[in-house]
Amino acid sequence: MNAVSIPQTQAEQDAAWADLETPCFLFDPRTVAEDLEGLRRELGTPVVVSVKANPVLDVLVRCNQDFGDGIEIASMGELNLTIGRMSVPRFINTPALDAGLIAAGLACKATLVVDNPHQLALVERALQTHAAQGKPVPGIVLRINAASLLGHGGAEADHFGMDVPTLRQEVARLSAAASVVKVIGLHVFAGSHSFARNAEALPDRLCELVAELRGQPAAQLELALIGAGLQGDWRARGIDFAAYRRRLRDLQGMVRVMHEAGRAVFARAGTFAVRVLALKELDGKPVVICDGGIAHCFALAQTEQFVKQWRAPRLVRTGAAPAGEDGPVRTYTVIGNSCNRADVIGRLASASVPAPGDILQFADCGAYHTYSPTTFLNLRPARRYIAS
Amino acid sequence: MTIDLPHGAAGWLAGGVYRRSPLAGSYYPAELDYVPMTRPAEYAQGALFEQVGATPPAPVLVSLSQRYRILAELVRGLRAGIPGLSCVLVRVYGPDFNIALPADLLAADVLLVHDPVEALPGVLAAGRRNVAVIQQDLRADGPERGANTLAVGLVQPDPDAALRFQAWVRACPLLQALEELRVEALGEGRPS
Repeated sequence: MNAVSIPQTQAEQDAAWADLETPCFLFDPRTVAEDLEGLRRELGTPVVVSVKANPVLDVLVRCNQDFGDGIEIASMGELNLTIGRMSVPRFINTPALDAGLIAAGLACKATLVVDNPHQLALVERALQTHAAQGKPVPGIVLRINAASLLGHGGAEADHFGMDVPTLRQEVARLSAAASVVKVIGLHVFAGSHSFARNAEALPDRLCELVAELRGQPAAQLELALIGAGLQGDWRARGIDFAAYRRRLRDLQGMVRVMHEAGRAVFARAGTFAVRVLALKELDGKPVVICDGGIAHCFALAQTEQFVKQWRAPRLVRTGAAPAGEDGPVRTYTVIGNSCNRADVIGRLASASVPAPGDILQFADCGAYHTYSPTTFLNLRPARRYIAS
Repeated sequence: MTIDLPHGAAGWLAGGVYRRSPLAGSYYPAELDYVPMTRPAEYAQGALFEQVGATPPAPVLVSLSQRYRILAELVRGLRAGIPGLSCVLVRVYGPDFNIALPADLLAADVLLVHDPVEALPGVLAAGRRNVAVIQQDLRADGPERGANTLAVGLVQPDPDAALRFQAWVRACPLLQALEELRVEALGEGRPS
């Protein structure tokens, strides 16, 4: 591609795709920024971006100025990715927080989100050392288990955070011991796709807990960090964000409320693409065999869906091979390259007959693309491209 | 961005700033890699590269490869557009270890330097005319300083070369993509 070519029309964009190696992802940082700004507007709060949803350094660096509210880090690898590159606040949040990650986090002035009493003890020891060395002691955030906070009928049970009695007990212990640890915030995440289900109860319960804990010396609460749990297509979900913003007001009267989001920030900004390798007929049903599949984009396997609704890719003709003549619309089963009977990644309804070398694009695959399970068959990893 | 010419030298300069990628609409491969760290001191030192302050850093608009491509494209354009071009001094931060330099930037008529202006007196003292200078501080990675400015100068131009330089600037998409693009005479008196 010429260094100054600027594809504007759909045909020019399709021609640009023909140059890309497949399987691949294409990420658009402008869409990331647009959706993040949209989320801030709808939620009415700052939004911390979850790096795990798109740990592509080129994307993160391009978005640095848009991620000013902060990023959430869940591993040493993600921390390594962003050190020196991102000049925004960091929140380190993982149930696997260990002494090494605690030390690394403190060294780069990250805010630690503590999942359990064992971690809290580790953090307390690290902060005592910090204080003994005359270094400023940062406040920490405690993670509450969402099901415990919301009670019966609330969030689905998971293993994250502390139940409310444990959290109370730990805050009381820190207060009684005049610990060096100061709890400056609470974090809760009720699970992926959980926003609508908990939009009423969660702010209220969190508000009650903040009000209760604020009286304790160790709880100098100034922050509530809420995992948003929004779908990638949150704009199309008919969510009453205005009602949610009203619901947050009491909590915002006490602390700075922030949301954390990943899928809702990145999903629309990524397209997964495969090349057609071959076509065949099975008992009169057409099948398209592609050079990438669930091994590269596990989201297409739809393991989170009770009923699979196959994704419909967009066919981009590349002219690499002669195509058959257009005819009546047929529905092609699109399969990947992993020798797995579950590797069905979409259904293509098309009057045009796909040809080897053509590209199939799957939109809205920008989040959690690294959540792919296998090195089975030693398949080549998907290439990653960025839109200028 | 300007270029301070040595005493007695004159020339032309075209420069401005990118507010969006000059290659908007094109796609590039992800190429940034991370530094594996494990010790707290490494994290503390790494964090020192972060540009934290009241004024956020200029956004990263291009990749490492794209920055080289832009510079190579300018060098090709200068060669094609300026008669009697003797050499091109190009500012690079270098080296970007994972990224190959384009052949155009490794050619015999290109001098890659951290500071072209410092190199200029020596080049002019050797009697060269029609010397091009490419100054830039395009950010391609988080630790890099810069304001995404780009300027191309032609120093000690022959009369025809000066005219051709201005025509080339008007026709160069990479320069026309600059905001606040200014074309100005440099040095003591307008060049002939």
